[in-house]
Amino acid sequence: MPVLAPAYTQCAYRLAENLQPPSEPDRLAHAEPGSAAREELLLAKLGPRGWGRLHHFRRFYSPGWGEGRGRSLSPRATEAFFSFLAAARFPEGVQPSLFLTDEGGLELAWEENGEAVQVAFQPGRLELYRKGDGTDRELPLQRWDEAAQHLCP
Amino acid sequence: MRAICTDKWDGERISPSAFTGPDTSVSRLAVFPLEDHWELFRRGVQRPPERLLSLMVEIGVGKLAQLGQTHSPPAEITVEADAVEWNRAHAVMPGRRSRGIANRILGAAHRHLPPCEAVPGRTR
Amino acid sequence: MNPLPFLTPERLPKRIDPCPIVEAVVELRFISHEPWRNIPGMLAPLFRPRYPEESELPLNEIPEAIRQHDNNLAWQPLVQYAGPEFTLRFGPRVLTLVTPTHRYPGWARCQEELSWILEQVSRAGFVQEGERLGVRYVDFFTGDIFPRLLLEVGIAGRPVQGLEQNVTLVIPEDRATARLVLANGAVLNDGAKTETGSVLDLDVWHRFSSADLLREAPALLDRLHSLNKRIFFGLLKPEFLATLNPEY
Repeated sequence: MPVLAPAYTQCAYRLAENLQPPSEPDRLAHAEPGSAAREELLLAKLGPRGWGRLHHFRRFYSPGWGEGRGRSLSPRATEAFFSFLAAARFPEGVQPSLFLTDEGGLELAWEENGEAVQVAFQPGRLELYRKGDGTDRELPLQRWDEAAQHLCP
Repeated sequence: MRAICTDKWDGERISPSAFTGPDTSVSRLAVFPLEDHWELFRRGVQRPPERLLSLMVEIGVGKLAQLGQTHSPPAEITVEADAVEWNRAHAVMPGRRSRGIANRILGAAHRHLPPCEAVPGRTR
Repeated sequence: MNPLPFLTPERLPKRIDPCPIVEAVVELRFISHEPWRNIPGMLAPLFRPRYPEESELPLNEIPEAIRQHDNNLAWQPLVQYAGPEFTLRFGPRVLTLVTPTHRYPGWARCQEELSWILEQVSRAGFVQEGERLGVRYVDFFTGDIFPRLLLEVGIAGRPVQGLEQNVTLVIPEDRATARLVLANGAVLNDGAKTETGSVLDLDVWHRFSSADLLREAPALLDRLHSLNKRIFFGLLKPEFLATLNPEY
């Protein structure tokens, strides 16, 4: 029996050679276990660009990103973002833009009848903005349903 | 001058959170000319390959103050010098600003594309 | 609410012998406002009294950019603190408590240790928010595990038998998710010996987004442990379970 080489991941066992998964092709990535439905939602509502950006924000923005004060993407903000996304109906043909805020939140921006609409999911609060009716206010993070109802019913 | 990197620009829209703060980082054209800011920002704020400098937006201090004063409710917008190791011209816009104000700042700001990508008709 | 897609026994054994548990791992994923370079320095003084052997894990040699790109590496620990009873591992976004190989001390002892660890982590103050809490058990059996399970892998209604198999199932249950890996071609090297056999690797986790670890984590971990146990015993054929001398 060969001596096992030191593992880079800390796992108690190895699979025999024949059972080891082949390396992932460049253009194929496995969804994180249990998150296939979220991946689908993200792709349906924000398209491949939004999907890719969220993965980037989650993976690559470590504490202190940007000019030194950026925070990592907040799991609380991400939960609220996904709940909002499931409830939201965006105008026909509109794909919102997705951004990472310096506080570790996510921000969606799109237009409705040519006017800006935005919602930011910050770690403890929501920021709502719609130019058309003068909405510019904050809500507690857990009131994402109210935000979805107001901005994209 | 505010650097806009890929976290605040997706090729279509600029994130208004670039100006909501807290303590928005900017740079003063009075210290370094516009052309020098490309290199300055590339060295100071880019973290390739994931975070790239995409644009710069320019707005005067006087215009910022005016936008704050004419907003409802009015807000004081200031810019304070805050030299850092990588940029003598560095300054901050202290505190947080509402989305309404941040959107007006973006609307009034002048956008600059990197010199090699400046295609007529694409911005400005 | 998603119930489990299969039945689990009403009574769960307290103990089985021989115990197939190779190791149990409790994992907390989190985000921090502290850069990773500062975290080991904050942890060492807190954990040294109970976990005196500090070492870097091999993954620490790999550049951050590569680790972040690889799904298998992004949430892995980089440093380890070993004590006489447990091992603690930390990474930029993860903390794991690992039981000693083949010497599972029981859930009650794990819970006790975890509450001490969570207290230290809370004191250190580097966890901004929790992201995911998980309880994973790795069990090893000699021979082929598949004929001894209620789960069947088949083609056109006929069970596949005697082939090398590696099966992964993701099972949702309420707000938890379980990932079950079953393989009949696993190699185990516990330091003393190397053997081949089957592995039943069951990781159960809960997406968790709280800044208040001390208040919320213990009850959640308890729930995840129970769920893990229900799934494990729900998979075993009664005649196989009988060979493990269950104590109720």
